[in-house]
Parts: sequence; structure tokens; C-alpha cells
Amino acid sequence: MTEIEFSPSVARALDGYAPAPEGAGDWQDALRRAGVSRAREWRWSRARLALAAAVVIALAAAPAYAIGRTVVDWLAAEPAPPEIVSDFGKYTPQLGFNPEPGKAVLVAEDDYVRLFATTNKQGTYCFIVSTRADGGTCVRPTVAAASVVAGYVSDVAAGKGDMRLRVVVGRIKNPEARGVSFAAPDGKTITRRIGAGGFFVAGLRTATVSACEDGGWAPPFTFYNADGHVVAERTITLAFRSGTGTSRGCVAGFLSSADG
Amino acid sequence: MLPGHRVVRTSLREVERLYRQDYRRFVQVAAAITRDPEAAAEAVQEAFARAIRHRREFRGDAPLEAWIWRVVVNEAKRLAAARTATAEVPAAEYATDGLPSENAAVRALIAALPERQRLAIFLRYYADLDYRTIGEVLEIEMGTVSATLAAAHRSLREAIEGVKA
Repeated sequence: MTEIEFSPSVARALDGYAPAPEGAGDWQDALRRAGVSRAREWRWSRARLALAAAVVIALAAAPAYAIGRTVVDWLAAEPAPPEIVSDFGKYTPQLGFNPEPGKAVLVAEDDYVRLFATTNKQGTYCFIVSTRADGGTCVRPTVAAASVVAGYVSDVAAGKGDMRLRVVVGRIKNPEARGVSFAAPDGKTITRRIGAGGFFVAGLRTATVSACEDGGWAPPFTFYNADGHVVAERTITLAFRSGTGTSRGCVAGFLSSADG
Repeated sequence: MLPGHRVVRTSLREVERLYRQDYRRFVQVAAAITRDPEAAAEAVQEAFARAIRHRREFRGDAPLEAWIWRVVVNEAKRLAAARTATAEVPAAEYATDGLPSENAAVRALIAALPERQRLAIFLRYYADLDYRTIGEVLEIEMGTVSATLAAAHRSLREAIEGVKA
């Protein structure tokens, strides 16, 4: 099908008919008009960032120990807000996961990003990163077996200019871990504290440098205990270059581990 | 893809992404429909508020982009109809001698196109949508989009060149 080519005279007429507008709009105003609750608005508007990513993380290699510890930690954590509980409650049971919405808690946070988790009837867990509206994701048992997992699960524009907000999430089962360090795509060292249940989340404000600039992003993760001693080290692939030619791309959005 | 199961429903994040990515195009098309920049901005805000409220009703049988564009177009048409019933023709449409200016005459030609032709032209020229998406927005076949655009362009070209002759 041949697509139309606008003649210069028609193009000039159309240019004058509706000149290109200025401005970037007001997303918050649209949310308010839609009646989005303040709590949900917080998820989407804080610092005017759209963050994303459902998160899937591991369960324990030693279930009895891990579940016992994790549940205690999770119960001690701050309960998730109603909209998170609601999102966990909207899973379709036929698809194989049954989150337990009433157990949803805040397990980790970092600046603009909050990580919520809950248990499910399959014996694994389900997670949501704050600002989400797609209901989150549950972890499969095969992924849940690792002692350390991490994933680069979101990359969105962060305000003006070329800045990006990249979200990395993960979990370590070692109960001694209190902090984690790893390198951002621009080489900057990122250090974050470990939250409840061994979870962590990092929102990285970086310039627009591809995570696959050097073929991929697979930083060493170093975990520290309360005394600052290293308790675990893992190199985990967060993104990698895939494909050829025009289909060549940077693949991310998955969780992986060094031993799972 | 993330491992594990993802619940299938329209993400607020996706709606926001379209808003931020294409805001100016939405407003430009809405301005072409309403003939009023303020009404255009209002139409886009109301349209997105509607899209946010009803996003879970989006069934995914067409791209989200087309669904959003349809909401914006419908809201702009609604405001345009309300405006037509109450508003005066903007003074800028006329030259100082009280007669329609050449630009005003050209604009009148565009405004006089049949609605489907006008909307197809706007969605193609201002929004840069492909024929398939235009068809989904206007709920017509791709072949009809092509014929509609060709007819609209031919009418405008002949009329404009006639105006300027």
C-alpha cells in the first residue's frame, strides 16, 4: 500500500491549522482527574518518576530455615498499603500463582523505590516494586533456589535531560548480610542496605549510558555484615547484548544468580 | 521477560509512558479538532483521566496506543461540539478589514472536510500514525484509511491551489 505524501501546499496549510504546541503536559493533573488515590498517586508521582518492574526473587535453598527466618522478618516489616494488597489480590488463580495479599509487607526501599513482597500458596513469593500497577510477579521455584539473586528490572526516564532511573532488586539469604555494593553501568559504586528478609532495592540515577555499553552488565555483588566484613560475593548478570543487526538489543528484566 | 507469572492488564505505567512520549502530538491533534489550544489541552487531560479510570477495560484486541488515541479524539470531538454551540470564531481568523484572510480561508477548507477525512488527515500528519493504527482509531479498514486520506489530500490540494490562484 502506497502511503500518502503531503504536497507542500497541503503541508503548509496543515502546519498553520494546528501549530505544534509547547509543554510536556501535567501527568499529575491527569491522575487527579482520574481520581487515583493519594497512596496510588504516591506510587506514580513521587519525584515525577515512572518506575516499573514486577520483581521475582528467590526462595530458600534450605526451606525450613529460610521460611522461618523470612516470615519472622516479614511480619516485623511495615504492612503494604492497600493498593499493593489489592494488586496482589487480583492474580488469576488459574495461572498458577496464589499470592497471599494479607501478608504483603514493605521489604526494602531506596529513595524513590519501594519493594513489597508477600508469600504465596505455591511456597514461593510475589513481589511488586512501588509505582507499579500491573500486579507484580511471582517467583518460580526454580528461580527461588539461589542463595543470591538480582535483576535489573526497570529503566525509565528520570526528569529532565538524559537521566535515567534504573532499578535493581535482589535478595540474599545469608541472615548476616546488612549491606550490598555493586557497580552501576557508568562505573559508579552503589551501596545499599539490606532490608527485611534479605531483600534489597536500588534506584540508580544515571546518564543515558546503555547497560550493554560494554556488551553487558554483570557486576560483582559484595555483601557485608554489620561489622563491614564481606559475607558473600557473587557476579550476577543483569543485562546482556543479544541478537544481530537491527534486532540487536540489550536484554534485561530478568532475575539471575551466580548459583541458581 | 521477568521469570514467573505476570498478571495481564493495562499498566498505568504504559499509559503514563504514552502520555509523556506523545503529549504534544495528542495536543496538536486535539487542537486541530477543537480549533482551540486551551480546549485541546483540556481534552487531552480529560481523555487521559478517562483512560486511567477505564484502563482495566482495555481488552488488548488493538494496541494500547490506538485505544488512547481513540479516547483523545472522542474527547476532543466532544469539546469541539460543545465549543461550536457556544463560542465565537476567534478574531485571529479574520483580517483587519473584516474579510476572511487567506489563512482563514485555507483553514475553512480543512474544517469543511468530511469528519472522517479530517480526522484521518490529522492522525496521519500531526500524529504520524501508520494506516493500521489510524484504522483502529477511526474503526475503519486500512484500505478505507488509504482511500480516505487520498480523497482528503486531493480535495485540500485542489482547493488550496484554487484559493491561491
